[in-house]
Formats: sequence, C-alpha cells, structure tokens
Amino acid sequence: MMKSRILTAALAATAATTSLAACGSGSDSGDSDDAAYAIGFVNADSLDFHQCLEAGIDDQAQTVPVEVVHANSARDPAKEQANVEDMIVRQVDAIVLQTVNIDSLEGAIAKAVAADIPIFLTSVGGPDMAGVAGAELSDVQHTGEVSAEWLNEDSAGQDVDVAIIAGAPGAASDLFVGGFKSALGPHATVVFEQPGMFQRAKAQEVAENLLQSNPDVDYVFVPNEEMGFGALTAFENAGRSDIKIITNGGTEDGLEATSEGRFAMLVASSPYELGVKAVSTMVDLLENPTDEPVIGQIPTTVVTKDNVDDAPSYCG
Amino acid sequence: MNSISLNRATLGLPPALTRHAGLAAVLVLICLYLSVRSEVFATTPNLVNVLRQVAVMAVLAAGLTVLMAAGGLDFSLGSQVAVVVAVVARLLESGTHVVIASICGVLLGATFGLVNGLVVTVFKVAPFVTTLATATVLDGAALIAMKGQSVSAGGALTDLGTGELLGIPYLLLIAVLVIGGAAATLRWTRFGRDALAIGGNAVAARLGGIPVLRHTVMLYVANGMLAGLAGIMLLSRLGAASPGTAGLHLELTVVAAVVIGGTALHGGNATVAGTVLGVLLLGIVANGINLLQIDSFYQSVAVGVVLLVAAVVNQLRHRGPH
Repeated sequence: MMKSRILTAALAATAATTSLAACGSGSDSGDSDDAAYAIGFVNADSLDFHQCLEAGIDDQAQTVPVEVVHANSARDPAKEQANVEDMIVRQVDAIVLQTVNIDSLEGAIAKAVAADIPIFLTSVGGPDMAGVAGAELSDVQHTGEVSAEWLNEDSAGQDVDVAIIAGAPGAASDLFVGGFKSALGPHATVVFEQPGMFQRAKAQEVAENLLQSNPDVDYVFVPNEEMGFGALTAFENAGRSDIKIITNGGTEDGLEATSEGRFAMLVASSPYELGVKAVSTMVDLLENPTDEPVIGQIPTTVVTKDNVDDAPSYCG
Repeated sequence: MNSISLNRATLGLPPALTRHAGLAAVLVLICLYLSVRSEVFATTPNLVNVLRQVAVMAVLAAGLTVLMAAGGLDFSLGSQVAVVVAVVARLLESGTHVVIASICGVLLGATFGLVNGLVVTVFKVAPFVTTLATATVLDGAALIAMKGQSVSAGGALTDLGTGELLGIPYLLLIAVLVIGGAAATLRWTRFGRDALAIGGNAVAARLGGIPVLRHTVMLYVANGMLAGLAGIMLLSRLGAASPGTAGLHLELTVVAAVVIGGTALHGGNATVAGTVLGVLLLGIVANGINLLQIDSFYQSVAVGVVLLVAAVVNQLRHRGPH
C-alpha cells in the first residue's frame, strides 16, 4: 500500500514537472546583447510548413540581428491567445503571428493593439486588418484561379470533366475552390466536389470513391499537397496514371512528384521565404512606422515537370 | 418478452439474426436508397472498395468489442495506430525489412496496450481517463516520430494494401479473420465468457475464481496488438505516414461502430455481429455521401442522423429480450 502511494506520488510529481516544462514552451534565439529588437514569433503548429517558416524567421533574425522569442500554439486557438499575452508581458518590440485559424485572429490583434505592440501576420489574414502593422498573406483564391487557368490552357478547348477534392468546409478551402471554379473555362465541367478535410487519408478515400462514381474524370483539383498525395495514391493503386492532379504546395516530395509527372501542376510557394520577408518587413516597420498596414502577397510559381527548377526552395 | 419469443419461434430465425434486425433493416434501407440514387453503388467494384476502406476500422472494432465486453474501454486505439503508422514508415524508410518493421509495429501496439492495462488495473484509474491521457501522449508521439512531416513507406507494403486473393482484397481477408477470431473468442472460449463475466460484475467474477486483473491486462494488450496490425494495414493503403492520420477521429468512428452495434458501454454484453453491422453502416454512409455528392456542410448532419436512427432502432430491438 505504502509502495503504491510512493509510486503514485512519484508519478504525480513527474507529470507536474513535465507539464510545467511543457508550459514554458517559449524559447529564445539570436544574440540578445547585440539585438536591435526583440520579436515574438507565435507559430501555429509544428508541421513541415511551420518548421520552414520558423527557419526563415530565425535565419533572417540572425542577419539583422533581432532576438526572436518563440512560442507554439499547437493548433489551439486558446493557446494562441495565451501566447500573444505572454509576448505582451515579455514586452517584445513586435509580434509575428502565424495564426491557428482566422477566427482566433481578432482577439490576438486586439490584445496586441491594446498593448501598443505592432503585430505582423504571416499567410493568414482576417477580414479586418486595420489594427495590424503588416502582413504577408497567402492569396488562396488567386491560387485557385491560377490552377484553373493552367487547366484551361492544358485542356486546349477540349471538353473535360473536373473533380474537386476540397479541404475542410470553411474559409480557406472555400476561397481555394471559389477561385478555381470562377476561372474555369466553359468547356470544363465540375462533375464531383467533396471535402478531403485537408487530410491525406480522407482525400485518398474520397478519391477512391471518385473513381467509382466518375471514372472518366480528366482533372482533379486538390488545394493542398498532402491531400494531393492521398489522391495520387488512390489513382496509382487503381492503375490510373491518366488523371491529371493539380495541387498546391512546394515541398521537396511535391516537387519530385511533379518532376516525375505524377502531379500535373503544382502551385509552389516557400514558407522559408515568407519567414525571411516577415522579419525584414517587420524590422523596416519598426524603424519607419506607417499609418496604413503594409500588406503583401506571398509569391507563387506555377510548376510542371518542365520547370521544376524554377520553384522556390521550400525550406531554405 | 413472450411475444418476442413467440415471434422468433414463428419466424424460425435464430436469435443472432433477430437481435440485430433493426440495425440490419436500417442498413438494408440505406443500401436500397443508394442503389436507386446511384447506379454505381451496388456494383461489385464499389462494394469491394467500401469493404477495403472499412477493413482497418473493422479490425479495431472487433478487438474493442471484446474489451468492452469486459467493461474496458480504449480511447487511445486511433492514436496507437497513428504512432505505429509513423514508426513503421520510419523503419521502412531507413531500410528495415518489412517483416521486422511489421513485427515492431505489433509489439509497439502491445506495449501501449500493456501500459493502458497496467494503469487501469494496478492504479484503478478509470479506462476512459487512462486511455484519453495515453491518447494525448501518443498523438504527440506520432508527430515527434514523423517530425511533423510525411514519411513515405516506399513500396514495401503496397502488395498488402492493393493485392487481392480471388478478387478479395488482402486487407478485407485480414479483417474477416480478426472478426471471426473475436466472435469465436466471445462465443466459444472460456476467456471470452470470463470477459463477459468480468464486464457483468467484476467483483463476482473475481470471487468466482476468474483472474480479473490478468484477463483485463491481456485484453488491453490484445487491443494494442490489433492497433499495431491496423496501423500496418492503414500504412499499406496510404503508402505514407502523415500528420493527422488516424488519431481521435478514427477512434471515435470505431467506438461509434461498436456502440451502435449494440455492445454495452458498461460491459457484460457484447456482439461482434452488431459491431460488423455498425462498421458496414459507417463505411457505406461515407461512401454514399461521396457518390451522391452531398454538400459538405450537410455531411455531418447526414452522418449524425443516420447514426442516431440506427442506434435508436437497434436499442429498441435490443431491449426486447432483456
């Protein structure tokens, strides 16, 4: 009995220590002695995209130099709010925010504005950008339009059937799909549209079902590379190499699949360069503040197997 | 009760069939509806496609049915699958032989099950709390194993994921074997009857000489091993591990399939046949939604309504003999 009590106490103590360690997830980089400014970077997650974004921010910060205080919200909007509050308490000179989702943005911006700390958004912006100092945004609607324009050109006026494996219902996916549909030519017919929830496994399942319901489909538009790979696996498992996949991303794996012709077209962009741009613009804004927010678009490159070398490096 | 017994006698149907008549009727109605609305639904390729898609869910659900018979619950199965998928993909990527990587996957699942079983039995923590905590740990572990990136498994498992024997996918054959094993365990083995006794009344079972702790730990370990197997099956289908694969969503789907099938959450009463119907229902609804191209905003509503109706109908039918 005594033994089990000791064990329980030891377990509880370990758990408490681990939790405390986890709570203090912020970390610093850059030489704080020489740093001109301290920037708080609140990242949304730890996926490939976020790691490369962070690498770009850290590398650029070292060249200025700027001290970067890191925090990660782990896909949790509430944690994002807490992270922004922590940055305010730490009195950083500016906050760079990769938000978890568009809906949690408003609170974060309001907090930073109230504390008089400029905030810079990466990739995702909200409907009201009045309070932000600047942003470098991903124009997903434009990505959808570019994808459709490439399809129009590639199909050269032939009548073609098009399927859309969308993301999770909501702002980002709707913008991708809306842009794509709006730019599709009259000869292209959308015969299938179902959500792949931004997940590879779900997208594969949907693509398998697509092969049953519309086996004659010519093109499939998939708004992100992960889902693109899911669809690709479904088609390859079924021995179908004739269906052209149009997707968006730019990772090493994605570019390799494009160079092999497994993805017909990829709209590529670089989170690393986004990170570099975010820090350089933020530093400019700290030195020369502007009344209006400085908002830019992340550059994209249309990549097919013929011009893979033109794609920007995803991770620096 | 008498009228139901009489009806059974009149119809001449065995209890195993009549017990799930309500759920089976819902399934048949949905199949009929889909057959009318979509000319593709009732074709052999599509039905094989659906069965291949539900194979992973079926393996997990079969194991969970036996565990729930003994009053256990495992909310970490989906997360165990996520870690196994990640680790096996990493092993294959680093050149490990597919057999060794697969054995590692199953052993990893067994270890997760052992931890769950020991925490539930030794520390007497409620299974729900234990497995929710381990699920959270494992979700993080899966991301760590993948370093947040997709990990390709190469072509090592492609034969398993896409191969067929006499037109039947290997994945489906594995699922059928596991389901058969679970059903036979519950119906014909002492271990299965002991599990039901533990779920019915653990104290009475222990006083009756059943090694409750050992059996419970074994059940969690067996479920972990099945999570390992399911992870390998899933990886063979996907060809790569990626963040967001399996996890809580898969887990909730599996629990839903088992509970809709009529297995009691509190233990003492379990039915593998019902679980199979629950798995088929969920798989067919997901397939039907794509075939009919139901608007994405209405998909959750459609799935929820079907589950609710199925659960109610099955419960009404189920309540009769007791």
